[in-house]
Amino acid sequence: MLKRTDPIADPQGAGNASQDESVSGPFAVIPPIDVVELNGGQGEGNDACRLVLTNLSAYQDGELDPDQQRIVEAHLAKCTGCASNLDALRETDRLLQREWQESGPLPSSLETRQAIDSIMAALPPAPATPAQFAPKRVHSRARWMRFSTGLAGLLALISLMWSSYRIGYLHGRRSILNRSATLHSQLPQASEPTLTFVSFSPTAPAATPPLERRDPPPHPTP
Amino acid sequence: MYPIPTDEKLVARTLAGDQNAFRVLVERHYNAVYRLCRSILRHAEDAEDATQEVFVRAYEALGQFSGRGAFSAWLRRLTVNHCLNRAQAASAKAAARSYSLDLLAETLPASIESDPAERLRRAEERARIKSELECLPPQQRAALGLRLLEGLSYEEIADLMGVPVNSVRSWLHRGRARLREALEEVVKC
Repeated sequence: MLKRTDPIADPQGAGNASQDESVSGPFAVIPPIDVVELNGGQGEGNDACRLVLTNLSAYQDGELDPDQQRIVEAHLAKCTGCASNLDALRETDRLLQREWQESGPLPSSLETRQAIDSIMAALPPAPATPAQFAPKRVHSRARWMRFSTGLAGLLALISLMWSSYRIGYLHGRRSILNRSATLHSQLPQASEPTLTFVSFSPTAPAATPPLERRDPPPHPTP
Repeated sequence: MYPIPTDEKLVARTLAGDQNAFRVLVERHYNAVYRLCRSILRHAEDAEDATQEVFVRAYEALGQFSGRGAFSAWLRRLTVNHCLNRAQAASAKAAARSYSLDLLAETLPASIESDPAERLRRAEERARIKSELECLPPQQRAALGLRLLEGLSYEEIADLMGVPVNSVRSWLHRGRARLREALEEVVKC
């Protein structure tokens, strides 16, 4: 009979796997070995055993990290309960492998040949080649629909651009007019010349000095 | 002397319309696919049917094989997916097939012990293992089969089944714990 302590018997409620999966789902994660909790493999008691036993399957398959492997080995050397569980696990694996190999031998060559013949007879005429996944010829109506949609989109884009241009233009023009009107109102009224036929030139032009005649320098005599 | 064509060349020839090339592929991979189906589905008849279906499906979907990975890996993934779907669909039927005298009789002739008592004990042991395996959830059974029969690593199993590595770890732990619990009388340590 299998010698087991209480936490060893069902470390994760594995005896009630269906209930377990309904609670934690099929993707439940086994807690990894905590190095601190195991105190470097020297830990004893239910917690240490529980941690080792939940990872015993991975240990048996060589799927633990080297550090975790070393910790489990150190614990197994001290804990007879966990060691006997490892033996039971190995024995279960051996029984399973033997049962699988004995109950499921490969079919004989004659049976295999017959099975292959039946497979070949059941094949469809041709496999789905990548060419069948190539884009099909577009129907003329669909092509017209695509063309008209594209054309409508293009026209909408052009009208949008034109309207935005017009709005921007008018807004800019209006702002320029406003600005010029403002500037115009800020000008001093007194200085504004009144153009009449009498004073076509409001202020007399400043007297400019007469240009002096400058004779070119005489040619140097040799 | 002709060189042996690779799987990828045979796939290309099949896609070009050469069915004999596909026959070579089937002959090359039949045993591996059958063994995989057997490890997941457990019954020889189911495994044979599933093997045939897998190859027909592979032929139909051959155009989707990109050729970037190995053909055997692509075929193995197809096999696992197909068998898991099939096993889940038939899980209710499988659960109903419990440990019985029929199952015992089925396992009896395979024993090679000369002592009748030993033969009976072995047959009983095998029948119990068989019934417990059938009661396992398909994912746990598939993970156990891929690990113990095919010798795949956790990462390879996770890749084949399309699940995280921690799920594989959990399934293997639970499956083994459940079997060990159920086989308490058989496993003597």
